[in-house]
Amino acid sequence: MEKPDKTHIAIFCIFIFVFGLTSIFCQSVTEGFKAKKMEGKIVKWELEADSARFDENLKTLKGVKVKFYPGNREPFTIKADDALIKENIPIINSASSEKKPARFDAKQAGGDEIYMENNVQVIGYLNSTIKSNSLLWDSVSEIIRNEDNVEIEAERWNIKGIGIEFSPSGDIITIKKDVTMKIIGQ
Amino acid sequence: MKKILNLKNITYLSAIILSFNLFCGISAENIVVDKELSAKREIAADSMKWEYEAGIAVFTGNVTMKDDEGEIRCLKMTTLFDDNDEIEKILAEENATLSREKQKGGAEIIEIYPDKNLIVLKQNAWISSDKATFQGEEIVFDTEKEIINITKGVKGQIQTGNTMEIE
Repeated sequence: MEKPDKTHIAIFCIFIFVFGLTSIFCQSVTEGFKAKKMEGKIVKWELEADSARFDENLKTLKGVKVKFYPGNREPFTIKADDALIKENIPIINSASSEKKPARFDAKQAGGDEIYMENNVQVIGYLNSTIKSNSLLWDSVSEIIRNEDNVEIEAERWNIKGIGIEFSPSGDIITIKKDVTMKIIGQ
Repeated sequence: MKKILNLKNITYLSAIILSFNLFCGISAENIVVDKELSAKREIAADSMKWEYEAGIAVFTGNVTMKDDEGEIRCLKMTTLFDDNDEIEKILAEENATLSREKQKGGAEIIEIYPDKNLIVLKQNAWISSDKATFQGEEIVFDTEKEIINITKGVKGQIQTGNTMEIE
């Protein structure tokens, strides 16, 4: 049997490398991504995205639509240009927590988080539309929040402020700073 | 058919469509402006907590409420909405002051009933105009008829040629 020379080995290695890279890229980006979170037989939320990229415990999504099913009230939808889903966030000690991206909350270790950004709109929550540039939801506190400029529009009033906090299943909205509410008519 | 579709008729038709589109465009713009103009009441504060089902919005810190008739300032303001999202009652607490074109006032608590055109000032209440100052435990002010009714603990001063005191 003829012994393989160095050229053959090099060509074989390059082939394996290119093949490996291609398979990694083919697997990591998905068009038309869908996900669902269940609690027993109850759907908590459904997510649809135009595309998704998968990394370890992190999904990077584009063209995102998340529909929340609060149970006791009408479902509502959050739309955003981009989103990050972090699942099973590992417990991080205080020394290494500084390395964690600021948009994720280190306190929510062990849970899942959805961070949405760019043209974020909450449609249908308490008969209003909430507009902002970012929103974060986590499965531990089950609260949606941000520290950004926010605007809430409804038929008879309009609220502007900085920072919002609300629970999908609750009916309380908190605006943290510099609130202005315009009441139309009356 | 040819007569109907001649160049002159098509030109007229285009002009009509263009005018209609322009009219619709202008109308839509007007509607937006009207909605903005009809914002009759504005509340500004440091923060807000809004309980939707209960119809209660609580504003805290440096609260200012402005409307067509004047301004109310306080540290805490509770706004109660009815089922149609109309304001039923506004409760201004902690250093509540009232400032209108003809009157100024203050109290521990100021209650506003927009539907009834009533402002009720409670606890260490006072109201003053150019020539009169009244104090009382409860002052009811009809904003439509401009009638001040002091229901509890009346004290007052009316400036005439000689100042007259009421107690």
